[in-house]
Amino acid sequence: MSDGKGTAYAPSGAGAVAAIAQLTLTRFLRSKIIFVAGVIALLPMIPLIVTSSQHDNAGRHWKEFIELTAFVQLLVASLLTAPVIAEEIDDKTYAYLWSRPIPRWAILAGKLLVGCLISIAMMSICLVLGSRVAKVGDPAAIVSALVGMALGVVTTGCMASAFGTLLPKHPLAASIGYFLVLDLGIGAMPFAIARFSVMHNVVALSGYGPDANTVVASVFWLLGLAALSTASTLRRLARKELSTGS
Amino acid sequence: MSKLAIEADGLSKWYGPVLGVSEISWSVGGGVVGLLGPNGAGKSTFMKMVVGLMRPSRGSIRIFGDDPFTTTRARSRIAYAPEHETVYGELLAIEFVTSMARLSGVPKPRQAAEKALVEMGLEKSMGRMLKGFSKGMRQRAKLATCIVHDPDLVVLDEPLTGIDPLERRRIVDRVRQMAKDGKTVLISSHVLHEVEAITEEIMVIYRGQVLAEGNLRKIRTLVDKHPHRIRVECGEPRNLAKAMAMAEHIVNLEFGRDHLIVETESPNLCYDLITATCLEQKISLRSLSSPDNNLSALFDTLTGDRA
Repeated sequence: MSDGKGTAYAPSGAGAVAAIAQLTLTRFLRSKIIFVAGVIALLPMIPLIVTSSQHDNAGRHWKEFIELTAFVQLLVASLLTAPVIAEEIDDKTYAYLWSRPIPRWAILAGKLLVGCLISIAMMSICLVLGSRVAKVGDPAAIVSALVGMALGVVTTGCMASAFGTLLPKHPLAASIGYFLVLDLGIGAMPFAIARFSVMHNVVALSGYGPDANTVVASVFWLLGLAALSTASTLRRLARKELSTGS
Repeated sequence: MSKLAIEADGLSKWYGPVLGVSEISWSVGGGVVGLLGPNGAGKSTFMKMVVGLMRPSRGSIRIFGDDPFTTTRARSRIAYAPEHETVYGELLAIEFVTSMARLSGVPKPRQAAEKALVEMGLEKSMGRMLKGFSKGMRQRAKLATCIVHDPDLVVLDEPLTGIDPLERRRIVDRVRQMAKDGKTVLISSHVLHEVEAITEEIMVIYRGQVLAEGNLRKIRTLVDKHPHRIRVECGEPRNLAKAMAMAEHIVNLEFGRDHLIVETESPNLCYDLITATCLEQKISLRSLSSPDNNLSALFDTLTGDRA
């Protein structure tokens, strides 16, 4: 019998999340995707700089910039979160993580944490730079835009990772396809249907769009969408059997 | 109370209508056990259930008394090196092993990783990226992740496939050391000769079923009736074939543009001859592997014997 010869360590939940986050960050920092995401995150600056130099209408420029930023954050967060679980499955590196004594939720949490934080950092730089160019004097407008964007990134990240686990062969296509086609379409629909759109709620939180005065509802909808998609991902991960042959 | 390292009871797994493993009831308390079977026999499926990557369709598996799929406690005592070569290529070897140590809750992961890499003979390469590693070095890096957290049960899926003789020797030595350290080691292969170099305790699995278990000598006589095949990937296979053709134990030689397939009645002599010839004639040797044709023939014989 070999019972009791080894040491049988196991990390805490927080320790597992931190370890996964550290591994994910190291891999991100050595990948090209982070540069691609960084370039995309700064794209809204181009039309803002061009229009600001031609017309002196700071309010309008800022509004257009916010709308474009809300759209771009969907792409940036998708890029940095949709593949995180899917690529482990597709590359078969899952075996290293899944066979360790860590709960599967910790794998998702660690990867989402890094993907979302990098996305938020990139989009925050874009928003702060944009506020300077658009000469936004009201700090509250910048803060509300930053909060809306951060919540939007988290929701997008949760939804993108759900698409990634659903279609692990094509995580980015599934996620970006959804946000480009459905999220934009849903956001243009009347009544409460538009509330199912991440971009619609992000714009509303920034103080624009038809639901601009319903901050609590926007937060509720974004967190609700994030919770639903995370629950779906966790359920799928908990039941996931990594059955493909080696 | 002492619990068995692996305890499978009526273990079955289907992939839809396809059978993975069927009704395996087997247990092991310690030592090194070779899991032998041709490709597609169900070895990897069985191993994935042992390490908690898959759960049984029917029956149960317990690792030190716990279900490895649902509890982290069982997995805290397991180490697993998958068959595939994929590693996180963008990581340095030290980062890879440190990450795995951290994920296993090892208190000083960096020091533990350095120690594991030194034990695997990778002390000079720990600062290199894994994507630049040879197949054998990757296998050793994977083995380092298996020893870094001092597990009780080490599960190695085809660790000797496609690597050169020197790397093979290093890995075999290390696996033997694990057994001496009191670990239970489950090691799979489709090549009897490889398993024989490590242990005499085997479980023969074929088409998802256990054909035989116990001491290897029982089936050795049957194996000897079937020549052992070795695939040699090298430069100038024609020259290597020419040099080997005169050896008495060689039964057949086939060569392609970049490889040579040797059939031999004496695998040990043949491996020595290949390496010696390559050294002598300065032929670059990329990898050695053993196609499982001879083993399939053996299993057909065993299946026939059972019927």
